[in-house]
Amino acid sequence: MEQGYKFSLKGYLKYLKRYRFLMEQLVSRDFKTKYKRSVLGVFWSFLNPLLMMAVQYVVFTELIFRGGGIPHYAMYLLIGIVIFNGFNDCCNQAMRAIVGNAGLITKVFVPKFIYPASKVLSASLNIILAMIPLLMVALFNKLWPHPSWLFIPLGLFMLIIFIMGMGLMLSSLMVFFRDIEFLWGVFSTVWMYATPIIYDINMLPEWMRPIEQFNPLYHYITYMRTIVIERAVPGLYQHACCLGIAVAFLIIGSLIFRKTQDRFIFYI
Amino acid sequence: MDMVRVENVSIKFRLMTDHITGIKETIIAKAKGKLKYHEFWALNDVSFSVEKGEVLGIVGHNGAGKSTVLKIIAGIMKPNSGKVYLGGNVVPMLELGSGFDYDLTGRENIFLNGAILGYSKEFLYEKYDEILAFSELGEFIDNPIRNYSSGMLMRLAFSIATIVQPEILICDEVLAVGDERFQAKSYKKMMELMNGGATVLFVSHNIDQIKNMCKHVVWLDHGQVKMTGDAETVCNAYREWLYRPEEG
Repeated sequence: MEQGYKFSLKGYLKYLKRYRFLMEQLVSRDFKTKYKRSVLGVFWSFLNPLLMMAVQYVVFTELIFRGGGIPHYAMYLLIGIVIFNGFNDCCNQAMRAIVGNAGLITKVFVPKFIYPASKVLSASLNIILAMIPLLMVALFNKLWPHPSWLFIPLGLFMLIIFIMGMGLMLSSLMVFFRDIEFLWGVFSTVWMYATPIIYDINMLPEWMRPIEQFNPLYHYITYMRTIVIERAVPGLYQHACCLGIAVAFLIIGSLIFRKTQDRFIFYI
Repeated sequence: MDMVRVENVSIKFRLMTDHITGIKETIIAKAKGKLKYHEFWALNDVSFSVEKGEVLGIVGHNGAGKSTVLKIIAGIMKPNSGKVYLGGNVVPMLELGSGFDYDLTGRENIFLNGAILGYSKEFLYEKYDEILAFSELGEFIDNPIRNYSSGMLMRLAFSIATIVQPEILICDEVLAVGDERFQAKSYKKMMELMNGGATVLFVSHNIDQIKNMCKHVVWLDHGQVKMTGDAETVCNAYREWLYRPEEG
């Protein structure tokens, strides 16, 4: 038997199966320890997006912007916030997955992608949990359940695949350039304002609108808004964009990770 | 039957003269042409083999490549050339507590640590009582381990590492655990494992311990095999070399 592993799809699935228990343990560890010493515990996963929405709702309807005349503005905001914050949280966690597990990586052989992958999964559980308050707010706004809701899991799945690609990419870049951590802070702020979370894409100057087509988060947020606010099944184009971005990022992330992983040990 | 066979393994380390881990620093260093590497062979054409059930000791001065060769066998590092053949699963005896999460309880850590070492859920459930008994932690097992004393942590770690029956066990200087009584118990456990057919690779600076536990010994010197043979001969030669009169 020879040690080491190749990043082929078949090998990937084999290792996923073999290390499934480890993945479960790592995910449940992250989830348990996240709220371990807080009084409200897992309720923060529900409360946090609601409170963020409340703050931004007050700011952007009462103080400035007047909600811009966007229908169901609270709902509109909440979807953007849940997806963007979920994305950002996952990326921040995944980024430190390799560097933070240096103690283990230098001692035990475990396929290294398990570390960022488990971080992305545990952090994305929060996105899934946030669907509960999100749909409650939908009901509160008389956006009643609709068959289109059945597409929510698909949207989340594609979003998480996209984030997985980002996580693999960031975690390996972080090993070689610790500056990424600080650059990401600035970059994600730019990304947040560049994404139509608080405003509508039609409020952008005309020349800027086509650029949004290159913003992955714009597509995922629009996908969810179509389902919940317009109560419609997203069109073929939206599906193609969301799926294409997910697959492309997963492939790019995996390739970068695969190419660099053997050198991690010398830099952590 | 060879359980571990290391064939002509070489690995090159590239140390940067200054440790550069920033984009800016790298660009500046590159621009100045100052990105100098200090290259050396941490292991150079190392070959040896271990039979099933054998305990192999590895000795050598600091930086001779002992831990590096263990890391290559464990699959953590890839050699630049050469091959490693393994006849079974490798379990490293973790430096104590490196896989622990201090916010989890002892019980949760047993499962987390066991999973990291590659054991299945069923296996760990089956062995749980045995691990608990060996660790002597009793009801403390349901407390978060940040409240444990260092002795308790070590007992927990050692219990997890040895309760299993690894086919190939890697020990890198880990046998100084807990109080004297627990040390004796761990030593006995190690001997049990070895008698139970586990193949063990053992690194230690304690030459007497190596003589005691190992049949064969490999002596590494600056990444090369200086000598292999039975424990007595190699250990004596190594000791003689260590205490050689300073040249010049």
